[in-house]
Order: sequence, then structure tokens, then C-alpha cells
Amino acid sequence: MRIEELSVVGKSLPRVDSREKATGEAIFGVDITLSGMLWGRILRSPHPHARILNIDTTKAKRLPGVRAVITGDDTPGIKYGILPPFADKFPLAIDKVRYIGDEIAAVAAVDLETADEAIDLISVDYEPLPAVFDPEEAMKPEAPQVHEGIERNVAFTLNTQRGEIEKGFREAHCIFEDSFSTHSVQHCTLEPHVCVAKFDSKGRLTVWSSTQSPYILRSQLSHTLKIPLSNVRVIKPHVGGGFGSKIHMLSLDFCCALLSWKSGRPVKIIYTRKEEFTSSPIRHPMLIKIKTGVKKDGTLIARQARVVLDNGAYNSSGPAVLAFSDICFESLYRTPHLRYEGYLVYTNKHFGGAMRGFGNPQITFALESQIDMIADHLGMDPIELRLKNVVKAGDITPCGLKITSCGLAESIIKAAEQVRWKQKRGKKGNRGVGMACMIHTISARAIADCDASAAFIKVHDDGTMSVLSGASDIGQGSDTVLAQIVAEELGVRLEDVRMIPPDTEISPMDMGTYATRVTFIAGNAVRTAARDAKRQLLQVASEMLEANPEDLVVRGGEIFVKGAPQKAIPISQVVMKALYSSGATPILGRGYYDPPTQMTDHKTGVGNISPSYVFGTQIAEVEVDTKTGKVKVVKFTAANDIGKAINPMATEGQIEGGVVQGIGYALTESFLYEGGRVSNYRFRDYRIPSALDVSKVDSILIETIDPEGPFGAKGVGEPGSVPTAPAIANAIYDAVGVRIKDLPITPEKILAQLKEINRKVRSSRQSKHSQSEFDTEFF
Amino acid sequence: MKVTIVLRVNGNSYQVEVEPRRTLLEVLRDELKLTGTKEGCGEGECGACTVLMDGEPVTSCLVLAVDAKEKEILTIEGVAQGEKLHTLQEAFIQHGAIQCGFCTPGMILSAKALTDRNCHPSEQEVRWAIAGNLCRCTGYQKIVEAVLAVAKGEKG
Repeated sequence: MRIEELSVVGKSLPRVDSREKATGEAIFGVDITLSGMLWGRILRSPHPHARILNIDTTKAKRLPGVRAVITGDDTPGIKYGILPPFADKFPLAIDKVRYIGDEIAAVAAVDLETADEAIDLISVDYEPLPAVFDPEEAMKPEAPQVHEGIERNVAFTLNTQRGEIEKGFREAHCIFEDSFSTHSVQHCTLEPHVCVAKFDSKGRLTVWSSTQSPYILRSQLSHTLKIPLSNVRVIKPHVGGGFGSKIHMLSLDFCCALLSWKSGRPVKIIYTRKEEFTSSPIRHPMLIKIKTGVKKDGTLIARQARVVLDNGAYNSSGPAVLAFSDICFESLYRTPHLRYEGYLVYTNKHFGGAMRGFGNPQITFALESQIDMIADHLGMDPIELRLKNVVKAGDITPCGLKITSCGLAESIIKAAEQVRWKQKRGKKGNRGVGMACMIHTISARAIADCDASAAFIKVHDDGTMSVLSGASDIGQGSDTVLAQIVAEELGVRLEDVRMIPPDTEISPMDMGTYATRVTFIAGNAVRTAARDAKRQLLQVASEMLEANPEDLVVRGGEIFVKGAPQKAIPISQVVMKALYSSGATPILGRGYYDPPTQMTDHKTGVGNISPSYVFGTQIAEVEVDTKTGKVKVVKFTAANDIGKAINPMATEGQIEGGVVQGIGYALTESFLYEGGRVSNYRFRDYRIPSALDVSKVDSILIETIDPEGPFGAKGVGEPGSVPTAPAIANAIYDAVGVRIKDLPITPEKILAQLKEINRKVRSSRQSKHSQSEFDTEFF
Repeated sequence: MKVTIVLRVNGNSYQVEVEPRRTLLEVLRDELKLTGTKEGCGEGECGACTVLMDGEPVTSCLVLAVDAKEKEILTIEGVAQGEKLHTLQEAFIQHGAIQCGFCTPGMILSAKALTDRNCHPSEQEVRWAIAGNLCRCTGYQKIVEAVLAVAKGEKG
């Protein structure tokens, strides 16, 4: 099918689920109520590090209205984590607590007030232990040990080397060494984590969860509860945002299930906003040292990184985030000699997990800030330096990524043209423009040697169809995109395709919504299923029309012989014939897609983990108030190579939302800690951008038409957030000459650097003149 | 101890028995089963629980149910007229202003409060009107476009 013949794909159609969300009919996990349902609450540790000596639940159990109380001793005592070799967390603590907020016990009661009162009645004897909150401190020999047997609190290390790094530095004309740091932020999904669990009398568990990955949750519940997989059913209602926080099982899912089993009633737990901030996963902070060697003409010759990831108290996705940051470090620019040394370090704080970008925003902040610093030193335009070194289609990066479609250079050029880069760059006054680029993967063969998705399509006797896919729409719009793909393939209208909400009892397997994978992987699966359904339809229609299946066309809900549309028969008629005549068979399309990728080799760190890669460039235009240090983002331009926009409006929406999250990451969001305790656990103190804090985002969609993606599509879920912070940092430098290397970029940091610049200028001028003409410029 | 109050919600009268400490949000969701209004924070900081009370947007998680008696409450369920959507709802749908949808009910009601009193708001006025409604998915751009489209008399 040629791109120009498409009638549904490529159109900015309203989302298939938008009407029910606009009317309030859409049912989220928080809205689910079952007959006899109890309310659950979790008791959490007030200490960052302590041994549990005794837990007394007697008073809690006696409180009228309490139906079940559980502690670690009531559980099978099985640790879990996203990657089995790194499973290090009990759903309820058994020996120790390792951060303020660590789960110790849970209750189920007839209402929330009773559950809250019961939690307060549980008495715990602790032996407080010394705690450590800084990852560099945690690596010292004398630091407290967060997990037994983990030397120097290093949960995972990664060392990769390509080429000959020392030779590379010897050949370099200039060498740059810089340190950067990024901080912890949280997903802040508007819908908190929620779970409703119900065991039936046959011991089968049904869970309604705000999950991004029903099949992963099913697997983790089965594993930690020690019940067969076939006894666990996970249903995904509408989900109010995920951004990575809802990929894996959290304590609430496990506790809900166990409380249900113990009480014999359904149980519901919803995290409070405080629990969201203090006790659910965050983005890993990173300390990054980058050493880069370049030739005189700006060609990158050697690059070395030392990265320390603050894991927090438990692994979650930590090892994968560290490995992924290496992959991104190695793959944005062509560099023959590379070395990466990474450490994932436990501290006694809330733990890092998957968050939009998965280590890439952090490493890209360092890489893309330093590239600008190098350009500045060499007297080159940052565009020129980037274009000289970016990866291109046909490249294989040092860690084995095979770059097929690649719009990276195009994204730089188009973004710069849109912004009128040359006219705006390097101008006097307090405005500036800054750019940053990125590479990201489409999915990743990392969790297991499987990255698949499967789909069924049932064609009804009225010509409409239902799609069963395990892929989860968490607000990013995948249901609409998948439905558009099916509608295009089967020649029907979008409104004739219904996406059935994922239910592990009936929806076939999909690994989940993460890693920007759904459009590509699940898209190919539903397209394959649609082709299978079409084949079955054409087989039946060929008998009805007395023609060969190869001579038939499906379009506009009808099937006809090529060149004879006046003799078309509706799909519904074909299905009726298939279902209700002798020898009948239902029309049921089956599709499966597992991309032709490889797991990373553990010894070499090499592997083509994704079927395609996405690229993008963002340019920030900022204005800095030199009296207050406040940064106003005047405009953002984001050029993204998305392969093919299945739904341009939805694609833009993802980019716009991603950029605004990136603005929050760069400028307004930050956790404040006191001795491991999060002190700003409310929206008033943890500032995510409001409508007043952001301006327009201009999206440029670059369609490179990927050879493997469905209709050429790649993906866009994460890229919007990846280069935003360095684009802003670079724009601030262009505006006022201030270089901030530690996120977040705060007014205080800007003012401090402006003062320092001013002091140096004064002191330099005083040695030449009696009066500085710059005095009035800054203050 | 419970008190009996009458709430006027979406044009209908409901007699409910509530403890004085219950919030309007809790009563709407738990007693009246109107689950369109959401709780995002429980502290009046995210706007997900926005309803209109006598035409003014309020964070219902901070309004006591007993203080809402004798007021006209409008929730998201009352915005459409039967199957006919309000122009704001249509505009949100057509302009791609809805992603996960959790902030949407509160956002639509804040926007409605604005457009009911100001037929031609500027972009800045729209942003001010929804400043108390946090959204983590959209970046607000298409939400603002949708409201401005309604102001211009477009249906989306």
C-alpha cells in the first residue's frame, strides 16, 4: 500500500476513547467498586535504615471494622524486581527497612478511616541503623551496608570499552573534562497507583490495576504469591498516566491480593499523593564525568564517561537504566574510541525506577551540554559540530545498534530553519537559543530474550471488528493508533474498530507499555492479525464473487473485484456467510510480532537491541531575568524523526507533553531531603509546570518511513523529554553566558554565576580601566 | 453523627445523610456514584476534583458537603445535554486535548466557568483559568487551543 493511498493512517482523527473521557464515563481503577469491598492501607517505615525487631498487630486486629492485617511473616518471603537476577525487595519488609516509606504491614478494613486508624495501632520495635544518602559516600568502605553482601553498596557495575581509549586521547587536539549532575524527579501521574484485588473461592485472583504492563504484573504476582500463572488474571481499566511508574508490581498490588485472600473479600488500595511522592519509583539521579577528545576540525575521536547512579534502596529497573545510559552515550555521535564506567549504588532513599527516557535524559544532559561547550571553545556553531559527528543511516554504533532509518541530521537542520537560528543566536540582551539532540530506542530486547506482541481480531457479522491486544493505552493514545492501523489494513472506518481493554484472560500477550514500543511492536502485531483476517475474508468472498482472492480489494467496508467496485459486497455479508453456512468458520485474525533484534551480549555489551531508533532535536528559546535569575521559556521547537505519524495530532500531543515534562525536569521540579526524608511531598512544594509556566511547542514531524515499522512508523512516547534540559541549559548560556551543569537550573544558581561573571569582569577591567562599563548591564 | 442534607447536582436534587466532615468530592463519588470527578491529591492543589458551585470552579476535595447544600453543583456528568456534547467537550475531542483523561473533567469545568462569563478570552486568560488544573500528559497546548476554538465559535 503506497503512503499516498492511505485513508486512515496519517490522519489526525480524534482518539477512540476521548468521548468517554470528556463525559466522565471512562472508568479508571480509582472508580472501581465491588460488592463487599474493603479498603486497604500500608504501614511504612519512619526510619531510613533500621532492623525490624518486633511487629505487634494485636490492637489493629481487634479494632472493629478491621478484617485482615498482614506483615512480612504472612508472605511467602519472595523477593522481586524487574530483572530476576537483581530481585532484592520483599513486598513487605522482613528483616530490615531501607528507606523512609518502606512497606512493613498492611490492613484491610470496612472503610478508609478505620484502615487509617488500624495502621496507627500497629506497633513496631526498630533498631535504627546508620544510614547513607549520598552515592559517593555509600561507595566508601566505611559506609553503612544497605543490602547484606553487597560490597560498597554497588548493586551493579558496567564497564565497556570500544577501540583504544588512550590512543584516542593521544590523537586528540583538545581534551575537555566536565562533571555534571542530575537530580531525582517523579512521574506525578494525575491518577495515583491503584489496585483492586479479588480472590474467588477457587483460589483464582483477579486484579484491576493501573498497570502499564498487565502481563508483567501477572507474572510478578504469581511469583511473589506463589500461585500458578493461570490463577492470576489482570485487567487494565483506563489509566491516568504512567510514564514508567506503573510498569512493575509495587507493594500495593501484592498487599491488595494477600489481604483479599486473607479476608475473603475484594480489597482496594489507592496510594495517597504523599505515598506517590515518597514511596513510589523516581528518576535516578546521576553523577556524570565526561572526558572528550576532539580533532582540530571538531571530529570526535575519544569519549569517556564515569557515571554513578543513585539507586535508592532497591534495584527496580536500576541495572537496565545504567546499561541504557551507556547505549545512548555510545550511539548519538560517531566516536571510534569509547569507555564507559558505570556504578549503580544503593542509598537509603526512595528508589529509582523506569521513568520516561530511562537514563537517557540524564546522560544526554551531560553529552549535549558538553558538545555545546566544545563548540564554543573551538569557535564553531553548535550545529556545525553536531552535523560533523552525528550517526547516519547505515551506521552500526560501537555497541551494535544498526541504524536503519535516521532523521537526526534532518531534525537539526529543520529545527534550526524553523527557529531562524542564525538570526537569534549570540545576540546581545538576555535572550538566547540553545539546541540539543537525542537518540532513543524503539523497545529493547533487555528483560528477556523476547520483545513480542500478539493480537487477535474478531470480525463481527455487522462488519465491525474487535481487536484483542495486550498493549496498554495509558493515555499516550496507543488504542487509537492500533485501531487506525487495523482500519487501514482492513479498509474500514476507524469507528468500525473497537479496542478491547487488556485482560490477561482473553487478550494475547504483550510485554507492556514502555520503551516507546507500542506503535511499532504492537502495531506490527495488529497489522499482521488484520492481514490474516483479510485473508480469511477474501477466501470466503472469492467464492461469493467467483473470483480469485488475489483479484479482490477491501475498501470502504466492502469487498470487490479490482476494477468492478459497482459489484461490491459488504464485509458484513461475507462474515454472515462465513458464520452461518455449513462448514462455517468465524473470521478471527491472528498476529504475532517479535522484532529481529538481539539481546546485549553480557561480555561484550554489544547487541542490536531494537528494530529501529528514533532521533530528534529540540531548540529552546529563553529569556533570563538577570535580576531574579528566573528563566522564561519563550518558545520550544521539537523536530522528531517518528518514521510515519499514524496520527499526527496524537504524535504532536506526545511531543508537547514530553517537552513540558522536560521543562519541569530542567527548571521547576526537585525533591528536597532532610536525612533521607522527602520534605516536599505536595504539589504546592513539588512544582510541576502549570498552564502558566509553559509556552508553545512547535512540533516538526520528520517522516523517514522506517522499513520495518507499521506503515513506516517508529514511536514517540519518550523522545519528547530527552533533550529538553540540555537545550534549555545551552539557551541560557547563549543568553547570559551562564553554564549550569547541575540540574535543576534554579534562579539561585544563575544569580550566583552572574555575580561571579560580573566580579571577574570587574576585576579584569579594573586592571585596565578605572570604571567598568558592564556594571549596569547585569544589575 | 450524620446530618441530612439536600444537594442540587446537575439539576437534580439528592437527599443524603452525611457526617459533617465528609467532603463534597467524597459524597459525589461515594454516595451519588458520580465518579467523573476525580481525586488527584486530596489537598486542593491539582484541580482534578474541580466542579462548579453556583457557576464558580471549586476544588471539591476542600469543600464540605454540608457547605454545598442550597448551591447549584455542576459536575462533568451534567455538562452534556443527554447525548449532545457541550461545545467544549467537542472541542477537546476534536483538538486532541485529551490524553489519559484524568484531569479532563476538572479541566473542562474550569474552562466552562471561563467561557460562561467571558465569550472571547485571550490565550493568557485561558491559561489563567486553567492554572489550577494540573495536567501531566498534554503540556496544555491543545487544551488551550480547544478552549480558544470554542471562544472563536468553532466547533473544533
